[in-house]
Amino acid sequence: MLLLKIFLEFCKIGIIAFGGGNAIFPILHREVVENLHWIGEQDFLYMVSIAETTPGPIGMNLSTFIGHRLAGFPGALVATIGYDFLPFLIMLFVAIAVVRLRENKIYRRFLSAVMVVVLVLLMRAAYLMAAGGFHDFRPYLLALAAFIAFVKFKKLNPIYLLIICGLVGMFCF
Amino acid sequence: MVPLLERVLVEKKKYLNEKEFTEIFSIGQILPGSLMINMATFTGYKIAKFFGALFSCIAITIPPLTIITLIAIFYGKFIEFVLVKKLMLGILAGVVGEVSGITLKMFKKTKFDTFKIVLLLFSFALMFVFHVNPIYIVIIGAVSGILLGKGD
Repeated sequence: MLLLKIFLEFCKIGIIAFGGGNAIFPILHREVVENLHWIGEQDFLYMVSIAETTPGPIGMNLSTFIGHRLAGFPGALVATIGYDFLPFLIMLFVAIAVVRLRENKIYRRFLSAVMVVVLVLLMRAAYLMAAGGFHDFRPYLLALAAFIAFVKFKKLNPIYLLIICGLVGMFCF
Repeated sequence: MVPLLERVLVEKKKYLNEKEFTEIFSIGQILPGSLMINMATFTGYKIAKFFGALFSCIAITIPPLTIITLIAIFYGKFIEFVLVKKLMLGILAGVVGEVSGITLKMFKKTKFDTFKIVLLLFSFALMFVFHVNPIYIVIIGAVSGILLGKGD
């Protein structure tokens, strides 16, 4: 029963995962940490750090990790499949029916509005991470430095930037 | 990730031509779910229909699934070390910086009209003031966009 619950929960999250892995952070946080109490706040933040620095999509990595925590490898498997299941079906439908989404007026209205909400989701993501994980001023300074580096050096691989931040944290926090 | 994908799918294996790759990339971005899964599904389907899509998704899932599972197994032991905790906190600070950077970039790209400004303020209030479940905010945004939005 737990496996089914995990599967359905991640199906729900997968279907509204617009705008990249970071945007689902507030959604996952609300569902998995606040509502279901599956994962503690601090653990969740550690999982985010790991999911962001390992290969693979962030949302999928987080799903695998949370699923594993709840029910071992079977949990990891159903959470990952759940997260990818509906996007897979939708994409398959689009491929089979050759849906011209970009030219579809209704879809464009839908998408442009959802992307506005994604902006707010991203703000919420940064807020939740800082509020939950930063206990003094030093992480804020590091975050500011990472922000400047990210915006200034467009060619810098984001994962390298995160690893540098991690090393700075190891020695300075 | 995308340049790597392009090199393998277009240049080396020649599964897709340049135009198809761009098309699949742009569709993958505007649908829900991971870009990797979306692109794998579409590419697999082009090559070998349903089973092509299914197997490319399974294949692209296996490496991250394995890596995270291994990390999850040893996680409990390692997270107790203070240095590991500091490493994680440093990474988290980096993530906050990057997410802020991504937000700024998206902000600049958005073509704001009256509807979008109202939606932005409204969903901001729902999220930060009224603590509405973000799932509902996405749904509210989607429905209001279809009914009232102008698209891009």
